[in-house]
Amino acid sequence: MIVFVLVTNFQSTKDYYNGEKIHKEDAIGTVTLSIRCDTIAGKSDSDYIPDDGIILDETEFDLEDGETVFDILTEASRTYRIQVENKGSAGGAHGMVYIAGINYIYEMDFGDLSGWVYHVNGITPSRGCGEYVLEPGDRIEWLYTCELGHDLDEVYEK
Amino acid sequence: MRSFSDINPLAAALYFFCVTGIAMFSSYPPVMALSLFGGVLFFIVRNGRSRAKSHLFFFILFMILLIANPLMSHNGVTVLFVMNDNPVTLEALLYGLNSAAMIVGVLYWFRSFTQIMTSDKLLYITGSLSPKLSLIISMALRFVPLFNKQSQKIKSSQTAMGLFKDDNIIDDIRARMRIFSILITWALENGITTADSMSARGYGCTRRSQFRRFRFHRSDVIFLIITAGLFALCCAALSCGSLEFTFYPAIKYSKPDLLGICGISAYSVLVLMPVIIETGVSLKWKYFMSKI
Repeated sequence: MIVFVLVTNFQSTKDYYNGEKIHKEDAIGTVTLSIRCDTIAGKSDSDYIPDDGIILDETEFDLEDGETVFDILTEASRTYRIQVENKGSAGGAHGMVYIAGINYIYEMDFGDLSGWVYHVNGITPSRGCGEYVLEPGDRIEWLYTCELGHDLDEVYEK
Repeated sequence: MRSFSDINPLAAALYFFCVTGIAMFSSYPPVMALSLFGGVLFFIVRNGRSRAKSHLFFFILFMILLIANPLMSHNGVTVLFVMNDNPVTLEALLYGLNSAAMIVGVLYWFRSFTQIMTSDKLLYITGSLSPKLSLIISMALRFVPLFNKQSQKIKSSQTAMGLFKDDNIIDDIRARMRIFSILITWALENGITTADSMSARGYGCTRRSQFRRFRFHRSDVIFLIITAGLFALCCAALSCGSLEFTFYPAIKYSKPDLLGICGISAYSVLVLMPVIIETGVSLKWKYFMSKI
Protein backbone atom coordinates (compact mmCIF):
# COMPACT_ATOMS: atom_id res chain seq x y z
CA MET A 1 0.00 0.00 0.00
CA ILE A 2 2.80 2.38 0.90
CA VAL A 3 4.73 1.27 -2.15
CA PHE A 4 1.67 2.02 -4.27
CA VAL A 5 1.40 5.53 -2.85
CA LEU A 6 5.06 6.19 -3.39
CA VAL A 7 5.16 4.77 -6.90
CA THR A 8 2.14 6.54 -8.39
CA ASN A 9 2.16 10.16 -9.16
CA PHE A 10 -0.70 12.08 -7.56
CA GLN A 11 -1.50 15.59 -8.62
CA SER A 12 -4.37 17.87 -7.79
CA THR A 13 -6.73 18.98 -10.54
CA LYS A 14 -5.61 22.59 -10.45
CA ASP A 15 -2.00 21.56 -10.76
CA TYR A 16 -2.56 19.22 -13.64
CA TYR A 17 -5.04 21.05 -15.84
CA ASN A 18 -3.38 24.37 -15.28
CA GLY A 19 -4.00 25.76 -18.72
CA GLU A 20 -0.53 27.24 -18.92
CA LYS A 21 1.59 26.54 -21.87
CA ILE A 22 4.66 24.70 -20.77
CA HIS A 23 7.85 26.44 -21.79
CA LYS A 24 10.82 24.20 -22.25
CA GLU A 25 14.28 25.64 -22.03
CA ASP A 26 16.14 23.06 -24.06
CA ALA A 27 13.66 22.77 -26.91
CA ILE A 28 15.15 21.45 -30.11
CA GLY A 29 12.19 22.43 -32.28
CA THR A 30 8.42 22.34 -32.52
CA VAL A 31 5.79 19.80 -33.50
CA THR A 32 2.11 20.26 -34.26
CA LEU A 33 -0.74 18.23 -32.84
CA SER A 34 -4.36 18.01 -33.91
CA ILE A 35 -7.18 15.86 -32.54
CA ARG A 36 -10.09 15.23 -34.85
CA CYS A 37 -13.15 13.03 -34.87
CA ASP A 38 -14.54 13.62 -38.36
CA THR A 39 -15.69 10.05 -38.79
CA ILE A 40 -18.28 10.40 -36.04
CA ALA A 41 -19.16 14.11 -36.27
CA GLY A 42 -22.92 14.38 -36.33
CA LYS A 43 -23.52 10.70 -35.58
CA SER A 44 -24.56 11.07 -31.98
CA ASP A 45 -26.00 14.02 -30.13
CA SER A 46 -23.51 13.85 -27.32
CA ASP A 47 -22.28 17.18 -26.00
CA TYR A 48 -18.70 16.13 -26.41
CA ILE A 49 -18.59 15.48 -30.13
CA PRO A 50 -18.06 18.82 -31.89
CA ASP A 51 -20.05 19.38 -35.07
CA ASP A 52 -17.02 20.11 -37.19
CA GLY A 53 -15.16 17.18 -35.76
CA ILE A 54 -12.25 19.22 -34.45
CA ILE A 55 -11.44 18.67 -30.79
CA LEU A 56 -8.06 20.39 -31.03
CA ASP A 57 -7.00 22.31 -34.08
CA GLU A 58 -3.39 22.17 -35.27
CA THR A 59 -1.37 23.57 -32.37
CA GLU A 60 2.35 23.94 -31.99
CA PHE A 61 4.22 22.48 -29.08
CA ASP A 62 7.85 22.77 -28.10
CA LEU A 63 9.77 19.56 -28.45
CA GLU A 64 12.51 18.35 -26.16
CA ASP A 65 14.92 15.64 -27.09
CA GLY A 66 13.48 12.15 -26.74
CA GLU A 67 9.86 13.17 -26.27
CA THR A 68 7.24 10.81 -27.56
CA VAL A 69 3.76 11.26 -29.03
CA PHE A 70 2.28 10.40 -25.63
CA ASP A 71 4.22 13.22 -23.95
CA ILE A 72 2.86 15.78 -26.41
CA LEU A 73 -0.68 14.42 -25.98
CA THR A 74 -0.56 14.74 -22.20
CA GLU A 75 0.88 18.22 -22.56
CA ALA A 76 -2.06 19.13 -24.80
CA SER A 77 -4.55 17.65 -22.33
CA ARG A 78 -3.05 19.68 -19.50
CA THR A 79 -2.87 22.94 -21.39
CA TYR A 80 -6.20 22.77 -23.19
CA ARG A 81 -8.16 20.79 -20.57
CA ILE A 82 -8.99 17.80 -22.74
CA GLN A 83 -9.79 14.55 -20.96
CA VAL A 84 -7.47 11.72 -21.95
CA GLU A 85 -7.67 8.22 -20.58
CA ASN A 86 -4.68 5.98 -21.01
CA LYS A 87 -4.28 2.38 -20.09
CA GLY A 88 -0.69 1.44 -19.78
CA SER A 89 2.11 0.28 -17.60
CA ALA A 90 3.38 2.55 -14.90
CA GLY A 91 6.20 3.60 -17.15
CA GLY A 92 3.88 5.87 -19.09
CA ALA A 93 5.93 7.46 -21.79
CA HIS A 94 8.62 5.21 -23.29
CA GLY A 95 6.51 2.22 -22.34
CA MET A 96 3.36 0.45 -23.38
CA VAL A 97 0.62 3.06 -23.43
CA TYR A 98 -2.80 2.72 -25.02
CA ILE A 99 -5.08 5.72 -25.43
CA ALA A 100 -8.56 4.49 -24.65
CA GLY A 101 -10.43 7.76 -24.83
CA ILE A 102 -10.05 11.45 -25.64
CA ASN A 103 -12.65 14.04 -24.67
CA TYR A 104 -15.05 11.37 -23.35
CA ILE A 105 -15.13 9.60 -26.70
CA TYR A 106 -14.01 6.09 -25.93
CA GLU A 107 -12.98 3.09 -27.92
CA MET A 108 -15.86 0.74 -28.90
CA ASP A 109 -18.40 3.56 -28.43
CA PHE A 110 -19.29 3.37 -32.12
CA GLY A 111 -18.94 -0.30 -32.82
CA ASP A 112 -16.44 -3.01 -32.04
CA LEU A 113 -13.87 -1.64 -34.48
CA SER A 114 -13.85 1.95 -33.24
CA GLY A 115 -11.09 3.69 -31.37
CA TRP A 116 -8.30 6.24 -31.55
CA VAL A 117 -5.32 5.99 -33.89
CA TYR A 118 -2.54 8.47 -34.56
CA HIS A 119 -0.69 9.48 -37.72
CA VAL A 120 2.66 11.23 -37.87
CA ASN A 121 3.34 13.19 -41.09
CA GLY A 122 0.52 11.26 -42.77
CA ILE A 123 2.05 7.85 -41.99
CA THR A 124 0.46 5.30 -39.66
CA PRO A 125 3.17 4.12 -37.29
CA SER A 126 3.01 0.57 -36.14
CA ARG A 127 4.20 1.37 -32.65
CA GLY A 128 2.48 2.51 -29.52
CA CYS A 129 2.31 6.22 -28.86
CA GLY A 130 4.67 5.86 -25.92
CA GLU A 131 7.40 4.43 -28.14
CA TYR A 132 7.40 6.80 -31.12
CA VAL A 133 10.14 9.38 -30.53
CA LEU A 134 9.50 12.64 -32.39
CA GLU A 135 11.68 14.76 -34.64
CA PRO A 136 11.31 18.56 -34.93
CA GLY A 137 8.74 19.56 -37.53
CA ASP A 138 6.60 16.40 -37.21
CA ARG A 139 2.87 16.72 -37.63
CA ILE A 140 0.83 14.51 -35.28
CA GLU A 141 -2.84 13.78 -35.86
CA TRP A 142 -5.06 11.84 -33.50
CA LEU A 143 -8.04 10.50 -35.41
CA TYR A 144 -11.10 8.53 -34.35
CA THR A 145 -11.79 5.53 -36.53
CA CYS A 146 -14.85 3.36 -36.80
CA GLU A 147 -13.19 0.54 -38.72
CA LEU A 148 -9.81 -0.21 -37.12
CA GLY A 149 -8.19 2.63 -39.06
CA HIS A 150 -9.21 1.52 -42.54
CA ASP A 151 -11.67 4.37 -43.00
CA LEU A 152 -8.87 6.95 -42.74
CA ASP A 153 -6.21 7.32 -45.45
CA GLU A 154 -3.56 4.99 -44.21
CA VAL A 155 0.03 4.93 -45.40
CA TYR A 156 1.93 2.32 -43.49
CA GLU A 157 5.42 2.79 -42.13
CA LYS A 158 8.14 0.98 -44.04
CA MET B 1 -50.13 -17.99 6.98
CA ARG B 2 -47.05 -20.07 6.41
CA SER B 3 -43.53 -18.95 7.21
CA PHE B 4 -41.33 -18.00 4.27
CA SER B 5 -39.09 -21.03 4.78
CA ASP B 6 -42.10 -23.35 4.41
CA ILE B 7 -43.33 -21.87 1.17
CA ASN B 8 -43.32 -24.22 -1.80
CA PRO B 9 -39.75 -24.27 -3.18
CA LEU B 10 -40.82 -23.42 -6.71
CA ALA B 11 -42.49 -20.25 -5.48
CA ALA B 12 -39.47 -19.33 -3.37
CA ALA B 13 -37.05 -19.90 -6.26
CA LEU B 14 -39.18 -17.80 -8.61
CA TYR B 15 -39.33 -15.02 -6.04
CA PHE B 16 -35.54 -14.97 -5.65
CA PHE B 17 -34.96 -14.85 -9.38
CA CYS B 18 -37.42 -11.97 -9.75
CA VAL B 19 -35.73 -9.90 -7.04
CA THR B 20 -32.16 -10.51 -8.19
CA GLY B 21 -33.10 -10.24 -11.86
CA ILE B 22 -34.45 -6.73 -11.46
CA ALA B 23 -31.44 -5.71 -9.37
CA MET B 24 -28.99 -7.05 -11.92
CA PHE B 25 -30.61 -5.65 -15.04
CA SER B 26 -31.14 -2.10 -13.92
CA SER B 27 -28.71 0.64 -13.04
CA TYR B 28 -31.00 2.90 -11.06
CA PRO B 29 -29.45 3.76 -7.67
CA PRO B 30 -32.68 3.65 -5.57
CA VAL B 31 -33.35 0.13 -6.91
CA MET B 32 -29.84 -0.97 -5.93
CA ALA B 33 -30.20 0.59 -2.50
CA LEU B 34 -33.57 -1.14 -2.00
CA SER B 35 -32.23 -4.54 -2.98
CA LEU B 36 -29.24 -4.14 -0.65
CA PHE B 37 -31.50 -2.98 2.19
CA GLY B 38 -33.99 -5.82 1.64
CA GLY B 39 -31.25 -8.43 1.39
CA VAL B 40 -29.48 -7.34 4.56
CA LEU B 41 -32.75 -7.00 6.47
CA PHE B 42 -33.95 -10.45 5.45
CA PHE B 43 -30.59 -11.99 6.36
CA ILE B 44 -30.66 -10.34 9.80
CA VAL B 45 -34.30 -11.32 10.41
CA ARG B 46 -33.45 -14.95 9.67
CA ASN B 47 -30.12 -15.12 11.47
CA GLY B 48 -30.25 -12.59 14.28
CA ARG B 49 -26.94 -11.81 15.89
CA SER B 50 -24.97 -14.79 14.63
CA ARG B 51 -22.99 -14.71 11.38
CA ALA B 52 -21.27 -11.42 12.15
CA LYS B 53 -18.27 -12.68 10.16
CA SER B 54 -20.23 -12.77 6.93
CA HIS B 55 -21.32 -9.18 7.49
CA LEU B 56 -17.68 -8.21 7.88
CA PHE B 57 -16.73 -10.09 4.72
CA PHE B 58 -19.49 -8.41 2.70
CA PHE B 59 -18.52 -5.01 4.05
CA ILE B 60 -14.89 -5.49 3.02
CA LEU B 61 -16.00 -6.68 -0.42
CA PHE B 62 -18.19 -3.59 -0.73
CA MET B 63 -15.28 -1.30 0.08
CA ILE B 64 -12.97 -3.05 -2.35
CA LEU B 65 -15.48 -2.79 -5.19
CA LEU B 66 -16.19 0.81 -4.33
CA ILE B 67 -12.55 1.86 -4.47
CA ALA B 68 -11.57 -0.30 -7.45
CA ASN B 69 -13.84 1.41 -9.96
CA PRO B 70 -12.43 4.97 -9.84
CA LEU B 71 -8.95 3.51 -10.10
CA MET B 72 -9.85 1.56 -13.24
CA SER B 73 -12.21 3.84 -15.11
CA HIS B 74 -11.33 7.47 -15.72
CA ASN B 75 -14.45 8.65 -17.48
CA GLY B 76 -16.38 11.53 -15.98
CA VAL B 77 -16.42 15.30 -15.86
CA THR B 78 -15.80 16.10 -12.19
CA VAL B 79 -12.14 15.39 -11.56
CA LEU B 80 -11.14 14.89 -7.94
CA PHE B 81 -7.41 14.45 -8.48
CA VAL B 82 -5.08 13.12 -11.14
CA MET B 83 -3.18 9.92 -10.68
CA ASN B 84 -0.42 8.94 -13.12
CA ASP B 85 -1.86 11.23 -15.81
CA ASN B 86 -5.31 9.65 -15.37
CA PRO B 87 -8.13 11.65 -13.81
CA VAL B 88 -9.93 10.05 -10.85
CA THR B 89 -13.47 11.32 -11.14
CA LEU B 90 -16.53 11.62 -8.97
CA GLU B 91 -18.71 9.89 -11.57
CA ALA B 92 -16.48 6.82 -11.47
CA LEU B 93 -16.73 6.77 -7.68
CA LEU B 94 -20.53 6.95 -7.78
CA TYR B 95 -20.69 4.26 -10.42
CA GLY B 96 -18.47 2.12 -8.20
CA LEU B 97 -20.85 2.75 -5.29
CA ASN B 98 -23.81 1.71 -7.43
CA SER B 99 -22.28 -1.50 -8.71
CA ALA B 100 -20.86 -2.41 -5.28
CA ALA B 101 -24.35 -2.02 -3.78
CA MET B 102 -25.79 -4.21 -6.52
CA ILE B 103 -23.20 -6.98 -6.16
CA VAL B 104 -23.29 -7.10 -2.36
CA GLY B 105 -27.10 -6.93 -2.32
CA VAL B 106 -27.41 -9.83 -4.74
CA LEU B 107 -24.84 -11.79 -2.70
CA TYR B 108 -26.90 -11.29 0.46
CA TRP B 109 -30.01 -12.52 -1.37
CA PHE B 110 -28.17 -15.60 -2.59
CA ARG B 111 -26.92 -16.28 0.94
CA SER B 112 -30.46 -16.30 2.27
CA PHE B 113 -31.50 -18.39 -0.72
CA THR B 114 -28.97 -21.13 0.07
CA GLN B 115 -30.10 -21.11 3.69
CA ILE B 116 -33.75 -21.61 2.73
CA MET B 117 -33.20 -24.01 -0.18
CA THR B 118 -32.00 -27.15 1.54
CA SER B 119 -31.05 -30.12 -0.59
CA ASP B 120 -34.45 -31.77 -0.35
CA LYS B 121 -36.14 -28.66 -1.71
CA LEU B 122 -33.65 -28.47 -4.55
CA LEU B 123 -34.35 -32.12 -5.30
CA TYR B 124 -38.05 -31.36 -5.34
CA ILE B 125 -37.48 -28.63 -7.92
CA THR B 126 -35.31 -30.83 -10.14
CA GLY B 127 -37.73 -33.68 -9.58
CA SER B 128 -40.62 -31.72 -10.98
CA LEU B 129 -38.44 -31.05 -14.02
CA SER B 130 -37.15 -34.62 -14.46
CA PRO B 131 -37.27 -37.48 -11.93
CA LYS B 132 -34.24 -39.23 -13.42
CA LEU B 133 -32.11 -36.11 -13.07
CA SER B 134 -33.17 -35.70 -9.47
CA LEU B 135 -32.30 -39.33 -8.70
CA ILE B 136 -28.83 -38.94 -10.20
CA ILE B 137 -28.19 -35.70 -8.33
CA SER B 138 -29.24 -37.18 -5.00
CA MET B 139 -27.05 -40.23 -5.56
CA ALA B 140 -24.07 -38.06 -6.53
CA LEU B 141 -24.53 -35.86 -3.47
CA ARG B 142 -24.40 -38.91 -1.22
CA PHE B 143 -20.97 -39.95 -2.47
CA VAL B 144 -18.86 -37.25 -0.84
CA PRO B 145 -19.53 -38.08 2.83
CA LEU B 146 -19.64 -41.80 1.98
CA PHE B 147 -16.16 -41.76 0.50
CA ASN B 148 -14.87 -39.74 3.42
CA LYS B 149 -16.12 -42.32 5.91
CA GLN B 150 -14.85 -45.21 3.86
CA SER B 151 -11.36 -43.72 3.54
CA GLN B 152 -11.28 -43.25 7.33
CA LYS B 153 -12.19 -46.92 7.74
CA ILE B 154 -9.54 -48.03 5.28
CA LYS B 155 -6.91 -45.86 6.94
CA SER B 156 -7.58 -47.17 10.44
CA SER B 157 -7.65 -50.80 9.37
CA GLN B 158 -4.46 -50.44 7.32
CA THR B 159 -2.73 -48.70 10.24
CA ALA B 160 -3.67 -51.62 12.46
CA MET B 161 -2.15 -53.92 9.85
CA GLY B 162 1.14 -52.05 9.89
CA LEU B 163 0.96 -49.08 7.50
CA PHE B 164 2.64 -45.72 8.30
CA LYS B 165 5.43 -47.63 10.05
CA ASP B 166 8.38 -45.33 9.39
CA ASP B 167 8.40 -41.64 9.95
CA ASN B 168 9.78 -40.35 6.66
CA ILE B 169 7.97 -38.62 3.81
CA ILE B 170 8.43 -41.41 1.25
CA ASP B 171 6.65 -43.90 3.45
CA ASP B 172 3.89 -41.38 4.10
CA ILE B 173 3.29 -40.85 0.39
CA ARG B 174 3.41 -44.55 -0.34
CA ALA B 175 0.87 -45.23 2.39
CA ARG B 176 -1.50 -42.56 1.08
CA MET B 177 -1.26 -43.93 -2.45
CA ARG B 178 -2.15 -47.35 -1.14
CA ILE B 179 -5.20 -46.08 0.72
CA PHE B 180 -6.27 -44.13 -2.37
CA SER B 181 -6.03 -47.13 -4.66
CA ILE B 182 -8.00 -49.26 -2.19
CA LEU B 183 -10.68 -46.55 -2.03
CA ILE B 184 -10.98 -46.35 -5.81
CA THR B 185 -11.27 -50.11 -6.16
CA TRP B 186 -13.92 -50.22 -3.48
CA ALA B 187 -15.83 -47.29 -5.03
CA LEU B 188 -15.99 -48.88 -8.45
CA GLU B 189 -17.12 -52.21 -7.04
CA ASN B 190 -19.66 -50.43 -4.86
CA GLY B 191 -21.06 -48.73 -7.96
CA ILE B 192 -21.48 -52.04 -9.76
CA THR B 193 -23.19 -53.75 -6.81
CA THR B 194 -25.50 -50.72 -6.36
CA ALA B 195 -26.50 -50.89 -10.02
CA ASP B 196 -27.15 -54.65 -9.77
CA SER B 197 -29.27 -54.29 -6.66
CA MET B 198 -31.24 -51.42 -8.16
CA SER B 199 -32.07 -53.39 -11.28
CA ALA B 200 -33.02 -56.37 -9.08
CA ARG B 201 -35.53 -54.14 -7.32
CA GLY B 202 -37.12 -53.07 -10.57
CA TYR B 203 -35.63 -49.63 -11.22
CA GLY B 204 -35.75 -48.67 -14.86
CA CYS B 205 -38.56 -51.02 -15.83
CA THR B 206 -41.26 -48.40 -16.21
CA ARG B 207 -41.30 -44.63 -16.38
CA ARG B 208 -40.14 -43.13 -13.12
CA SER B 209 -42.59 -41.26 -10.91
CA GLN B 210 -41.66 -38.83 -8.19
CA PHE B 211 -43.09 -38.45 -4.72
CA ARG B 212 -44.19 -34.82 -4.45
CA ARG B 213 -43.17 -33.84 -0.98
CA PHE B 214 -44.43 -30.26 -1.15
CA ARG B 215 -47.92 -29.41 -2.16
CA PHE B 216 -49.24 -26.14 -3.44
CA HIS B 217 -51.29 -24.38 -0.81
CA ARG B 218 -53.56 -21.45 -1.32
CA SER B 219 -51.09 -19.10 0.39
CA ASP B 220 -48.41 -20.19 -2.10
CA VAL B 221 -50.64 -19.29 -5.01
CA ILE B 222 -51.45 -15.89 -3.51
CA PHE B 223 -47.72 -15.27 -2.91
CA LEU B 224 -46.91 -16.19 -6.51
CA ILE B 225 -49.60 -13.93 -7.90
CA ILE B 226 -48.41 -10.98 -5.82
CA THR B 227 -44.80 -11.61 -6.81
CA ALA B 228 -45.66 -11.87 -10.49
CA GLY B 229 -47.73 -8.69 -10.39
CA LEU B 230 -45.05 -6.59 -8.68
CA PHE B 231 -42.37 -8.03 -10.95
CA ALA B 232 -44.39 -7.15 -14.04
CA LEU B 233 -44.84 -3.60 -12.75
CA CYS B 234 -41.12 -3.18 -12.12
CA CYS B 235 -40.26 -4.61 -15.54
CA ALA B 236 -42.71 -2.23 -17.19
CA ALA B 237 -41.15 0.72 -15.40
CA LEU B 238 -37.65 -0.41 -16.40
CA SER B 239 -38.39 -1.13 -20.04
CA CYS B 240 -40.33 2.09 -20.60
CA GLY B 241 -37.23 4.03 -19.67
CA SER B 242 -38.66 5.75 -16.61
CA LEU B 243 -35.81 4.46 -14.47
CA GLU B 244 -32.80 5.54 -16.50
CA PHE B 245 -29.60 6.75 -14.98
CA THR B 246 -26.42 7.38 -16.92
CA PHE B 247 -23.17 8.05 -15.10
CA TYR B 248 -20.67 8.84 -17.86
CA PRO B 249 -19.53 11.44 -18.81
CA ALA B 250 -21.90 13.47 -16.65
CA ILE B 251 -24.60 12.21 -14.32
CA LYS B 252 -27.91 12.42 -16.08
CA TYR B 253 -31.25 11.27 -14.82
CA SER B 254 -34.82 12.27 -15.38
CA LYS B 255 -37.29 12.80 -12.61
CA PRO B 256 -39.29 9.57 -12.37
CA ASP B 257 -42.80 9.89 -13.73
CA LEU B 258 -45.84 8.03 -12.40
CA LEU B 259 -44.75 4.73 -13.91
CA GLY B 260 -41.29 5.15 -12.41
CA ILE B 261 -42.65 5.86 -8.95
CA CYS B 262 -44.98 2.86 -9.25
CA GLY B 263 -42.02 0.73 -10.28
CA ILE B 264 -39.88 1.82 -7.33
CA SER B 265 -42.66 1.31 -4.79
CA ALA B 266 -43.53 -2.07 -6.32
CA TYR B 267 -39.90 -3.14 -5.98
CA SER B 268 -39.74 -1.95 -2.37
CA VAL B 269 -42.83 -4.00 -1.51
CA LEU B 270 -41.28 -6.96 -3.37
CA VAL B 271 -38.05 -6.92 -1.37
CA LEU B 272 -39.85 -6.41 1.93
CA MET B 273 -42.35 -9.25 1.40
CA PRO B 274 -40.35 -12.04 3.09
CA VAL B 275 -39.64 -9.82 6.09
CA ILE B 276 -43.35 -8.98 6.38
CA ILE B 277 -44.31 -12.65 6.15
CA GLU B 278 -41.74 -13.72 8.73
CA THR B 279 -42.69 -11.01 11.22
CA GLY B 280 -46.38 -11.76 10.73
CA VAL B 281 -45.81 -15.44 11.41
CA SER B 282 -43.70 -14.82 14.52
CA LEU B 283 -46.28 -12.37 15.89
CA LYS B 284 -48.99 -14.97 15.37
CA TRP B 285 -46.87 -17.57 17.15
CA LYS B 286 -46.21 -15.27 20.12
CA TYR B 287 -49.92 -14.50 20.30
CA PHE B 288 -50.81 -18.18 20.41
CA MET B 289 -48.12 -18.89 22.99
CA SER B 290 -49.37 -16.08 25.21
CA LYS B 291 -52.79 -17.72 25.25
CA ILE B 292 -51.48 -20.87 26.88
